[in-house]
Amino acid sequence: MNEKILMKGNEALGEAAIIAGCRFYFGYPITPQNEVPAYMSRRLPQEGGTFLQAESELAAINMVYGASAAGARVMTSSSSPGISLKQEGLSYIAGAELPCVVVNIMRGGPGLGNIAGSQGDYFQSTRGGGNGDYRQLVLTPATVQEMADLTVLAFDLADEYRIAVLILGDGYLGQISEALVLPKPTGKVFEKPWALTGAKGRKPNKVASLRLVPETSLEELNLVLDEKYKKISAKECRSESYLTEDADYLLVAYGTSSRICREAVNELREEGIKAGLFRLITAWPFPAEALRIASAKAKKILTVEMSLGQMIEDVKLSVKDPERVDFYGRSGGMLPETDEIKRRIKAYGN
Amino acid sequence: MRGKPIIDTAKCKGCELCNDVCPVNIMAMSDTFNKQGVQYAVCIDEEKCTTCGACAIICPDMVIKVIKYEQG
Amino acid sequence: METKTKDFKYVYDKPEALVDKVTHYCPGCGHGIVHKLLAEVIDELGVREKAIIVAPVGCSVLIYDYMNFDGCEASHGRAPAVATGLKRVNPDSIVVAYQGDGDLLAIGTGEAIHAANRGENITTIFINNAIYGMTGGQMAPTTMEKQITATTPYGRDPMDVGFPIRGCELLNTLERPVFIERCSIYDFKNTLKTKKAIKKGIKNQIEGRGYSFIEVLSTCPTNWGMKPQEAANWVKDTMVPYYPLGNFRDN
Repeated sequence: MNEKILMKGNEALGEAAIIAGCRFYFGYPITPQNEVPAYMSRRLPQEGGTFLQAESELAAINMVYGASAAGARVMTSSSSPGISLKQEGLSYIAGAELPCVVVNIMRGGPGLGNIAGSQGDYFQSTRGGGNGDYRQLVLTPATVQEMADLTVLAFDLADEYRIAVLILGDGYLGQISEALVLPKPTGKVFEKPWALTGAKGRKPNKVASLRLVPETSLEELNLVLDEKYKKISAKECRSESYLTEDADYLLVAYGTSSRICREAVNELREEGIKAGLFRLITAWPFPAEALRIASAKAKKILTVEMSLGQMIEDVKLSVKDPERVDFYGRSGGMLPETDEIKRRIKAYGN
Repeated sequence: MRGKPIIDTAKCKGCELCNDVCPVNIMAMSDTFNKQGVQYAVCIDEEKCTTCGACAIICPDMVIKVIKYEQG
Repeated sequence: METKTKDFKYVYDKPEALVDKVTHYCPGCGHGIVHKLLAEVIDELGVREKAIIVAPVGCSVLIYDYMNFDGCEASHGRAPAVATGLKRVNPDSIVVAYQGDGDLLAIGTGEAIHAANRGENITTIFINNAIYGMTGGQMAPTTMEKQITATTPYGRDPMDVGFPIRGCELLNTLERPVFIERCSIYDFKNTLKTKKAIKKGIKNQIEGRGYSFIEVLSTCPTNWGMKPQEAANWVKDTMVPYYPLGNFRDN
């Protein structure tokens, strides 16, 4: 079935999770991601799966923890303040090395903020909002098609590395309707000998992060995790370089802001200005090498975010001559404007 | 002799709960110390043991097993 | 072996479901007793190969090291949510959420109430020893009135921090739980009753009947500053009058 259909971002993500074999969803309502639980509550029973509306975000992420420990493909979704509440669980999931998919359809903050799309949770997602020395994979879709495709990928990555994979979208992407071709299941199978399925014919399995005594050294666990993170950093960086080869001016963005940047690049090119776009598909691992290549010839690098500057730190850490890096962002649920991006790029030429 | 408690003295933490629970008062604490540095549970009169199992059941540390001899 | 020794059988032997190792618990700690009771029940019902213990945060955080079956850590108070996830994925597994008083009635009240309210087909063993043991003896939600703890140096004042919460009574307002009982391990007779209650709780789960809640009034000799037998007596004399023993529901 390669037919194009029209779906909302949040619903495409839900259907893609089911295509990926996810049969368990636990979540708590919060705008602007409510289409995800609504969709899952309708679809999962049809597929013999379980949808459960939890009593809190804390409960939801810990149900995910339990379901993952039992060996299932499992997902939860929320939006910024709800994701803050899930940080405790995400830290335990990292420590216990459990695979799961967590969707953050970001809204404005801090605090209750507002319900409009935002990119204010980049730090929280890529630096780890919970306690301890850990990382999680962060995928940043920019279209409804990618909301679906990256969700299927997320489940495979989660199982392959026994890690939480965050899908970092925003309120605009969640709500927008676009045509997409639903992805196909990858068919990858992951053995889970560590899962809690009952100690029949084997020694008891333990799922835990606690390392109290020297024989179960915490540093040993930290080093095992670090090896894993290094492997992911080497293998799983994803990005898109759009008209970057000859670009004098490079825009760097992800998600909704990258859509606006693409439009600006196209219009600037029509005016004869060599602009290009470097778009993150993974925010962690950050595609530093690809960005170094894409930005090699650029006179100026403009980082565009729906925040007052978070990803820019990774951009500055990645490129040669970071003094080339400039910033334009809108916050509080406001969108960057194409005209303003163009105005700034043109100003560099003077 | 009906049976008796088998006491793994090395594991005993010396809580004395078995002393109080024994209905025929044959559990006591040793004069010497085990490797954990505590006086451990001992049975002072196995002849009187009724094999009720109370000492074993109340023991928090799985120190005591109780055996019963087969009638012969 | 002496030649004259008669054949014998074990009246009490180590349950297969219990690991043969010295626990980290203090002398006389009630956790050790309840761990054994649970292991005995798991053996007697023949479900060791299906059982999963969900450990709380508190002194019994390492319970999975003492149980000879699968085990899962939960963050503080979230054992019922973790148990829910485990059970929903594998309904045939036997899931036991083992929780202390801080875990179940303070930081995890929400999870405890809602798992019970959903009627999750799990068994909760709630250890009420009126104090936070692992962190060094602070006030628990179940600390008795006037009881002195590390954070109530003048005694618990109900006009300031409320009265001790009664877990069984609280859950007994909900429709879905099938079994609610409060027991204690302060003496031999009550210890046997506790085992019976735990057995009923696991049996209910095997039969798919739903949520069972067994509260065990237990001891913390170290943080109460008492000898183990004195602590047992304190349960009987001080806790039992406020937390009445008995069955609240058996559907």
